[in-house]
Amino acid sequence: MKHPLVWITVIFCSGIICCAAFKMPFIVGYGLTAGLCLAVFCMPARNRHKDTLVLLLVFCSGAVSYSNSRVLPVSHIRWLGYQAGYTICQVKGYIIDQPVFRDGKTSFTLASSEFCLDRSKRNCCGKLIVKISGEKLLNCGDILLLSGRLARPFFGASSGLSRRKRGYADYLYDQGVYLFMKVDTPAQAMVLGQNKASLLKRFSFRLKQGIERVIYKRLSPLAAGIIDAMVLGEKKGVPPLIYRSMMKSGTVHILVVSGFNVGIVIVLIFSSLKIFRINRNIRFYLALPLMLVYCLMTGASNPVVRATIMALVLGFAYYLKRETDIYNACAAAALLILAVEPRELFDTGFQLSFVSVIALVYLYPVLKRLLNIEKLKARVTVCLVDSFLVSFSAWICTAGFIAYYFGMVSPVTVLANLVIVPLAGLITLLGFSLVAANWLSGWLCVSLVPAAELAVNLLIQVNSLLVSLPKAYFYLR
Amino acid sequence: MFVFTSQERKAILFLLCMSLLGIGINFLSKRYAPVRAFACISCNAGKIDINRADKAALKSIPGIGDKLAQRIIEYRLEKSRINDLQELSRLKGLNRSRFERLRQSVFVE
Repeated sequence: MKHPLVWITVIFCSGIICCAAFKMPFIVGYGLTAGLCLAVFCMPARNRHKDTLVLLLVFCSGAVSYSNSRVLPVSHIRWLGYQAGYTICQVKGYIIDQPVFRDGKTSFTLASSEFCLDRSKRNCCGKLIVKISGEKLLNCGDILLLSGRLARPFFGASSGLSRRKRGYADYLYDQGVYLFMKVDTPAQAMVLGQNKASLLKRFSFRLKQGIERVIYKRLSPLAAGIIDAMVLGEKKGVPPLIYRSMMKSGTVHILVVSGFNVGIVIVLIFSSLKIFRINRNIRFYLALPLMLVYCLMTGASNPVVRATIMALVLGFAYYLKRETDIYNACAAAALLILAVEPRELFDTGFQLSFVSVIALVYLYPVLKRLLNIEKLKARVTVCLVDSFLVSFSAWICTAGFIAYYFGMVSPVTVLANLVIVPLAGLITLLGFSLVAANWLSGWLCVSLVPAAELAVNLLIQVNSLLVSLPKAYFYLR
Repeated sequence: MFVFTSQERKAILFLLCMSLLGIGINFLSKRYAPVRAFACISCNAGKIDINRADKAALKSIPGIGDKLAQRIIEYRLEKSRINDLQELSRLKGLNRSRFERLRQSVFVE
């Protein structure tokens, strides 16, 4: 089999989809899978049906892992929260992401460990989103005791395949978040301790804060917000109008850290290490933790995790001097993400990320072969047609998903990506250079700041021009 | 169409069996607390519960002698329960390095 991992991943995903559609009980699925497992072991090695049975086992494993992901522990905060109703209760736990101050509220995700209602304490587990009115300086890994009200963000959320349109509540459900906690004042959030998160995670968030400080110190608020989004995936500084305008032109992917940004970071790491004449093996060892740090810094969203795993798989193949296979690397990334959390299959970010990669590695070479662009004589024309095909392949494959989830079709996306993606690459590079220059010496930033401001301004102008073209985009409802 | 090599088949079967076992344990530990206690290694594993330890158990901790163990027990009796290990740092004879060693070997439920 040429791409064994691809087939295994496809079949594993089919198992998840079937389980989501037919709501198979865990016990039934597990019994069936265990029986199948025994049958495979009892079968003679040379039986020609053995491989089919192995693939059936992969299918059942997908179904069982999805089924298991839907089962919550008896001590989950969700059940305790339902008992509490809307009365004030206390929850102890630690912060697992970087707290954000936005719209007068400090919000973060808390991993709960203790729940207290009417002086009766209980151990618990599970994540919840906390919103504290006002600003409170907190860090990832801080242990907190919070007093507030628990609230459900939704009622009767659907998961997996559902006829109802999926919304933010379903997204939270698939992330394992079932409750919000509203804390009225910062004083009701008591810090009991620190450093609960892993060292790498804490280091990544500290680094992120440092980079953000430099970006906001050196640039105007608008340019800083956009560069912050491009470099670190932090969208808090992007004005909603610009964000919506980029959604219309189909270029909003540059404001969320994706494979594109991870690619730039990897190229940057390797080139800078190469400049210092560092040995290939050492370069590889140094790049590994740096890639992980960047992945954590940007919140480890699906596209970033996908790109990081793919880079690691391809990097290992290169290091071990083995043949690299982009399809197997992509499948390995999908399989790893789904093995940890099968519900991610229904996440919009996961779907768009993998579909666009498939478009670039499969559809683009096919189109290139069909049009036979190598025969074109002018190099500029080859380059232009090539770029057009890349943009077109990604658009054609993702258009259906975007139309379904966002109710929008943007024919201008192909043209917009041709102009905006190179510009975004330049801005991301300028962002990283600015941070590096600031750390080396402040005066080095003098020339970089105007360049970054100009590039961001150009990006906004080009985007608004493209969106204003007739039939640039239209809504389906 | 689907033909695996012998090594591929072995690797897939091994990974599937292990993940199946893991999923089973995960499911049971979510439903039944005793399974969780059995399957998951607690961060307190290998440590002594300071509120239940007798003198001999306390003496087995490096740096804790007969007198200090007796003082810890007397303090526990006096307060009826030790709620935080930090409380012990005030005990006579328990200097900083001894306290750090004690902290690594005991836990408060």
